[in-house]
Amino acid sequence: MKNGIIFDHVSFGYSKNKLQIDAASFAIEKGSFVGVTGVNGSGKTTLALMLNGIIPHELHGQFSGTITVDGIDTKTKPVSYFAQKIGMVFQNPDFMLFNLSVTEEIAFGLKNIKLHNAEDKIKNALQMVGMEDFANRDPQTLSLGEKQKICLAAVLALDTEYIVLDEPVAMLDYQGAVNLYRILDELNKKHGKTIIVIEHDTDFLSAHAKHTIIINRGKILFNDTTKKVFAHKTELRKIGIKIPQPIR
Amino acid sequence: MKKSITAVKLVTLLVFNWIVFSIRNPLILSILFIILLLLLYFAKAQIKKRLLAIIPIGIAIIIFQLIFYIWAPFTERFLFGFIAAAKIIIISLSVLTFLSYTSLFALIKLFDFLPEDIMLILMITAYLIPTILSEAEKIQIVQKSRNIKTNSFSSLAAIIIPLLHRVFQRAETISLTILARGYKSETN
Repeated sequence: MKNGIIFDHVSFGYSKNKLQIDAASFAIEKGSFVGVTGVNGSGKTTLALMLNGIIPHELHGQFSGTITVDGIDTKTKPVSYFAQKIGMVFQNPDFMLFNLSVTEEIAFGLKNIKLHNAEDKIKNALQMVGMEDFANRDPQTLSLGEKQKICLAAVLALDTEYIVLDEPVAMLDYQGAVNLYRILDELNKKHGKTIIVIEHDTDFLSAHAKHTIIINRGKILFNDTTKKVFAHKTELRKIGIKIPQPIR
Repeated sequence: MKKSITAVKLVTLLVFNWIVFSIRNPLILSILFIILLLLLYFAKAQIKKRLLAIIPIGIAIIIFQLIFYIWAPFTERFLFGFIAAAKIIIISLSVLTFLSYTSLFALIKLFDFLPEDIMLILMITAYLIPTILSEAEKIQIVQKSRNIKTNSFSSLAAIIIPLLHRVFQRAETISLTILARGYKSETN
């Protein structure tokens, strides 16, 4: 499979003695909606940071194995190259907004990648997340839910094929979380984007992700369709993962 | 248009402060002080907070003048201390007035002729300063709720240590976000 993301025996540890990711091998198909879950400290965020080459290029440690994105090894190109392919929304939207207006925030990535028609792209991205009236607002004055949408819009404007979100609903209320997942569903189904969500909330994962990866102590425990993965109830309970309940 | 208005405001601030430096009349300084207070009142700025921080400094200046220049007559020492204190207070209030009527965004836009790397540093600094102050306030509330006295010098660590942790966390996320959005430093 040339298209998509492939992890081939990938291991990584910030120090020699402890591996955050231990011999992970899996593939993410283009156009899929993938969920990654595991308990705290299992290596979920480390895995996300590997997708666009932040590990090993910017965060250094003991790295082995190969990660390819559409056939290109993440070790061979800088992070700025993968920024055009993979959009990343980190855990805390409060920490991700540093520009002085929403428009500037979204334009930041566009300027770096030197994309044309920046104004149209900003407008479209804001429309996709339903925030078109917030273009001139100071990001710091927004609610957490609104900030999260702006972070997503900043990624959407770059029109990347892959969108990675690290615990996107951790700081949102229930309705905010439902709305965010509705947007992600739309991006996946209508626009063909590959969505990779690192998530604690297994209820949302089971309702939206078609494919789920369970990670435990850096090892890939399950990697299958969401239905099949969550059928392993006993094993999941044992490692502390909540068995999902249907969302109404 | 907006940029030129900000430039005019900035030049006005600089000229105003230069004039304040050269004034030696306590009556004129008092009038300027009242005008600034009125301007700040209309801008709904946090006057009380600023005055609480700056007035003790002004009082300290007057006291030092009274203590250390004993060879001069009392009224002269007092007047000299008053003028020095008034100048410092007025300059501080004039900067607050300027920032109350000018957004940080407009101010930074004024320097867009600078290299991109420096603009980015300016922008992040402008974002981080108020953020750090509000984080410090939040930490203070949390520590107070844990019955830790935060107003004494010895218990300052209870605020500074978690504050440093939060600031480093923020800085790390910002740097990762910048990289993930394709930023390439000009110096690389």
